Amino acid sequence: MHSPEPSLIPFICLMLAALVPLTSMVANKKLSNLIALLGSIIIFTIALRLFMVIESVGVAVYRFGGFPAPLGVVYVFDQFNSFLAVSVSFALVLTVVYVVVFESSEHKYLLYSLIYLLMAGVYGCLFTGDVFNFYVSIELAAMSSYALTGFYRGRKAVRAAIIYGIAGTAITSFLLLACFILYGSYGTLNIADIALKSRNVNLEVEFSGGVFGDILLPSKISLALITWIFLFKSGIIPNHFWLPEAYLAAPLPAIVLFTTSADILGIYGIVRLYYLVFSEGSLISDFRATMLGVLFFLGTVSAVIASMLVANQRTIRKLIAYSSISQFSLSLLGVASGTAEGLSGSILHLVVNGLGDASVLYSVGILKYYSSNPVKGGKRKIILSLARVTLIVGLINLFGVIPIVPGFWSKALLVLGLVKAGMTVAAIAVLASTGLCAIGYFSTLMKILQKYRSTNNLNDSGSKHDIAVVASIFILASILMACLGLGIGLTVYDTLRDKVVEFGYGVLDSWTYIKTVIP
Amino acid sequence: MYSSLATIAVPLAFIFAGSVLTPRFRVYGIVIRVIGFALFSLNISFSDLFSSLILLTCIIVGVVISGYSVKYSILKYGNTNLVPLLDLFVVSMILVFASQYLIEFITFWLLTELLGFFLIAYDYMARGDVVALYAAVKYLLFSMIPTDIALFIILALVGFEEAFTVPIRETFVNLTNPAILIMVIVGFFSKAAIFPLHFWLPDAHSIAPAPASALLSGLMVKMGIYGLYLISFYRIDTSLAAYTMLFSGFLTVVYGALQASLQRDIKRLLAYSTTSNTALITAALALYFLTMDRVFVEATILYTVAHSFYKVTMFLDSGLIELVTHERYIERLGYMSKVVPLESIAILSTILAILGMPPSTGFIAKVFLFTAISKYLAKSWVYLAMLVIASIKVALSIIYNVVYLKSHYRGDAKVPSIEDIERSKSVLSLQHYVLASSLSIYLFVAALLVIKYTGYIELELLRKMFTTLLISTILFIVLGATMYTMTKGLSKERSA
Amino acid sequence: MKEQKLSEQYVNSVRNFFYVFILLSIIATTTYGIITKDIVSLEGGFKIAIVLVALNAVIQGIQTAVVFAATVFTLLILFYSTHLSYSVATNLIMYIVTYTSILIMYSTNPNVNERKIKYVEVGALYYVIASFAWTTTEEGMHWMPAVIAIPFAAFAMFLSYSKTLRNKGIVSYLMSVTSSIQSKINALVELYIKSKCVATSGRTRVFMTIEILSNKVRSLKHYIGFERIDLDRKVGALSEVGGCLDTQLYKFISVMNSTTKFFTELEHRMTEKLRRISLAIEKLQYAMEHNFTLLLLLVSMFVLTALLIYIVVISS
Repeated sequence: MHSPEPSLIPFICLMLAALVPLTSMVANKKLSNLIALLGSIIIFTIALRLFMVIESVGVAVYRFGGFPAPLGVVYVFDQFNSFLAVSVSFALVLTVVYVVVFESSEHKYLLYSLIYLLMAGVYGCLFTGDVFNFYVSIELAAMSSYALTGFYRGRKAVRAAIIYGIAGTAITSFLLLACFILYGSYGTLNIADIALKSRNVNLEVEFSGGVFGDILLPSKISLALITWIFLFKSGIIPNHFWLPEAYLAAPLPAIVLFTTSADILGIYGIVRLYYLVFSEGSLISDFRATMLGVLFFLGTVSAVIASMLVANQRTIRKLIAYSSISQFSLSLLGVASGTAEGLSGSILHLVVNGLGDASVLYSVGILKYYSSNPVKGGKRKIILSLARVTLIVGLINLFGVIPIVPGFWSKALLVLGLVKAGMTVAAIAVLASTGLCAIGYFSTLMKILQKYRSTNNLNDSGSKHDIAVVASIFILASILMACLGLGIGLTVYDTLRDKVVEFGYGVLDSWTYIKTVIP
Repeated sequence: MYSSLATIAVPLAFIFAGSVLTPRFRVYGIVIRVIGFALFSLNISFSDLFSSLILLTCIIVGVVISGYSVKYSILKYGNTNLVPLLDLFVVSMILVFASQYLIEFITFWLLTELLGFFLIAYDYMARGDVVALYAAVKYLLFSMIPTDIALFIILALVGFEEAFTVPIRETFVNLTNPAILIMVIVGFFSKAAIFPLHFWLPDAHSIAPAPASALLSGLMVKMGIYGLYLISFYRIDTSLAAYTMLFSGFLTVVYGALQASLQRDIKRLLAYSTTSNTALITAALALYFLTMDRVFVEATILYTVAHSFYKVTMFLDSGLIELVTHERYIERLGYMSKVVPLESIAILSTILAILGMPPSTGFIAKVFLFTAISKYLAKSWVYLAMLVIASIKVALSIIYNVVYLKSHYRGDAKVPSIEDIERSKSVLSLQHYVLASSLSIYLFVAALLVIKYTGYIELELLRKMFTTLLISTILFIVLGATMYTMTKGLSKERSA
Repeated sequence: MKEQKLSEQYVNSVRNFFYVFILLSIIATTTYGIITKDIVSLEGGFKIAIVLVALNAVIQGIQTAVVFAATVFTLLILFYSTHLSYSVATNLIMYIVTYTSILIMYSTNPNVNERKIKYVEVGALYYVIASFAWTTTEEGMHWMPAVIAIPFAAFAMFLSYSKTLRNKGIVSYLMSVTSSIQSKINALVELYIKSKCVATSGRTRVFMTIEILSNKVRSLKHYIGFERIDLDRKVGALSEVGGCLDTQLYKFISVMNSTTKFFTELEHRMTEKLRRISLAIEKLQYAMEHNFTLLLLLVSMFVLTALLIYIVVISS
């Protein structure tokens, strides 16, 4: 890897997590806001540049301290995780702007700290090429999300944090157990190395030797354990019980971060597990096929049940919670399909879900803010109509049936992939769950439009809220441009569509990954 | 693709400019929008009979409604927010019918459905009426979702590359699997409101504001028919498709017409009559599937056009009644002909036109339909059943049209006092739009003949009927002139 | 008031204009069809004739509209099903029934002024059907439909002009049958309008039917000047049938109403089921959260037992 910046992203996050509360306590509060904002912009630019570099290179590796692969820790960048990294950093920028302007608790500096710790964990998970490092990053992300859930310190928040916390810790300790099992049998912690050895048992790799004893059983056990953990992390039924409570209690920006970054780690992990570590040519391919069947079944059931729950909702937070469960189950179905279109559809679907949830949550937040805080008349009209438009576009994106939003393309790719793999039941489940979710989306949309309809009778007051105006226009406009730009671009340019499908092919092609890490 | 982009962008710009102007300068706004709609006729490519005729219908309906909707919106809601929504709805329907590629078709279809949802729920958005929300959610669940499933299935079977490059009638889709075929057909049934997914229509169309109901009943259910017509270009099991369509169509014709005769609310009556008519059109299309004879397609499209104009006029009339009397039940109406005589005449002529008075489109459509059926009558029992059902439909349509007309012409009805009903000029001026709409069903024939004789389209039987039409038109003019001079003379005598 | 009277006149005159226009176009189209032997024009003429019937229904209101609608139904089926077979016998029967049904429709004339124009109407209808039959029947049979049409037309034409003809046996019997059919149907419709679908007990219904029927018969007798007593008995026997028929009408109306109710109920049940399922799932969710440690334990045990099973299975 030519330049070390992308791999520094987690470290930048850690640094900011420490720096921001420090400056806020020692120096000015405004300075800490500024530092947080600058940090997020820097991270976004690095991630964007990373994505563009990876487009030309393919797969890149950064070796920490220069140590070669199985000996030291490596960060591996390919199209899959760089795309997700861009989406995560976009959400980060929006969230930091929102927190700077609209969040008004006295412990705001702690909120920044937790956000950046969460980001550190998420980026670590996305980029790492090492199993134990993965566990550490997931634990970091999980801890910050437990704290974020309980941020407001009320009764409900603490209860939600406890549920999430204890359940999460117990379940991620299985991940630790799985790491031990893998290390004990494979003799190495490097993902690419494990992938290599799972295909070819008798291989001897430099620095890590061969395998110890019979690795068939340990592989199966670790596969099962890690699958279960990732199902919990993404909130697939029946492991979803923490999600609605957490989404009800957490602060609004934290929920956006959860849907865009923390909860996608589960699906990300499953993709890496099933297509890189234990792929089709590996020694436990029949067990893997069974597990894929289990995932298929769970995904279908989860999608349908969650969408039935969505159909009943009329408030935003619960709607987004159950809708996230449903959309993640649809991504899981795409993963279980095994075709490139299905995989690319599920990757795009993660990003689309994040965009959709962000637009819905932020527009409702801004509507709520402006219904209780006065601002000058003309600007208010612009902001309110922009917020309503963003809300409508966001819900249509989640519903995902019109080609001008990217949600259509992700669903279309999913259906195409499932039909190609011969799983027509799943394709019908995708469409049926879309339909059922639509009831919830549209009823909630109507209720919210009704609720915030008549907001004309607050007179205008001073200009100290100009920063709020600028910030809200920035947030709404950028989400809208991202949604519609991605959607219209996918509709009009087939090169973009081909590129998205290429993501799927890139995931399926695990040899490039392995060969780049361990030459 | 770029020249077609220009032919779409220019009218759109006009319509957008008109909508922006409408709140302040009403007349200019209406004029610009009418020009915009007329410019859409650049998109008519006469390559396919069905789409070109129905596109023409959409344009004419758009022109007629553009003036009505402004006045209605101001009178009922106090602002013109309904107007851009209606315009966008008509525009997206025009684009559906004018689309060349499958991906355009699906995009605009879905956009139309979404706008239809917002139109049905408009009362909820404007006034907080919860019934509108329930009707809209029912529409979402039973009409939008099955159609989306059908479209997605077609898209999945066609594949993405072909959806972008191959014109829509040349994509070769393999719909041989009977389960998939039935799913696609039922999806389009749900749009056209045919058994088993027909029950969303009465609630949805009677709750929406009147110009929106006109567009929904007059044009949007025809999209389902268009979808079924497109299926005929694919490789399917024609007899299975035809018998499904015939079975559901027959049931719905009879059920819809019977229900329509029993209704007391004028809008629900019109809604049930829509289901009955679309089912008859579907049955005619099913006969096309069975015989592959072009005349059934022609009968279908002509009946579709006639029914569109008829329904649009009737719903516009129901809107006028609602504004004048704030009343929707036939028992309490009956004096409309005494208050708005011009309107009653317009409605009478429209009803006669759909029942088959020359020289209107309804006459041509009915003759085409019955002649086509009778040509094949000896071949199988199916055609006899179709004849029976069509006759039942005609008989029952006489009944429910008479029931509807009771709101205009009941002999013993007394006009309520001045305070109860509105007689303001603006309300009464809506009559002119309804009159224009009712004339369109007659003038369309002129347009049809012009197009035919410039050689763009080919309608077999029209050649034979040309003299009939000519005779009746001449009679009409002569008779009208005679009566006019006679009444002029009489009134001169009376005043002298 | 004056304005209303003016508008009424206006509307009535337009209605009459349509009436005359339709009548003239029927005659013109049929003549053109005969001259050029063009079946499509004749079918067009028939269609316009149907519109004429419909216009009559419009003018006269809902009571007679049902009669007209039923007649239109029979007319359409019979007219087009003459395409079905070409044998003389079936065609003969079909044409006879067609003409008879037209006669039933026009057999009660309320207004002396309108009688003449009604004759023109009936004549026009016969003209259309006869010319269609003329053009489509095979060679040598051209006489048949004309032969049938002429006595019927003559009967209708000369009805009022000859008192003696009215008292003759066959003519009076035919007259009574047709008028009783029409009055029965009218009575049913009137009953429906009066009682608005409320089902009363059988005896009163039949009573009401008989009463209305006998009133109508009495007025009919006055109009025709026909004093035969046999008519009462025949009408009395027929009214029993009328009583049975109106139960059918009520049943039909209640069936229609129950179908609407059925569909609304179905949809309510479906939404209720959906709501109940999601409520149940939310309750389960709540229970899971409250007992989450128990659940966690169960889940972990499940995972570990699955692994243990695999160990047992693999190692065997």
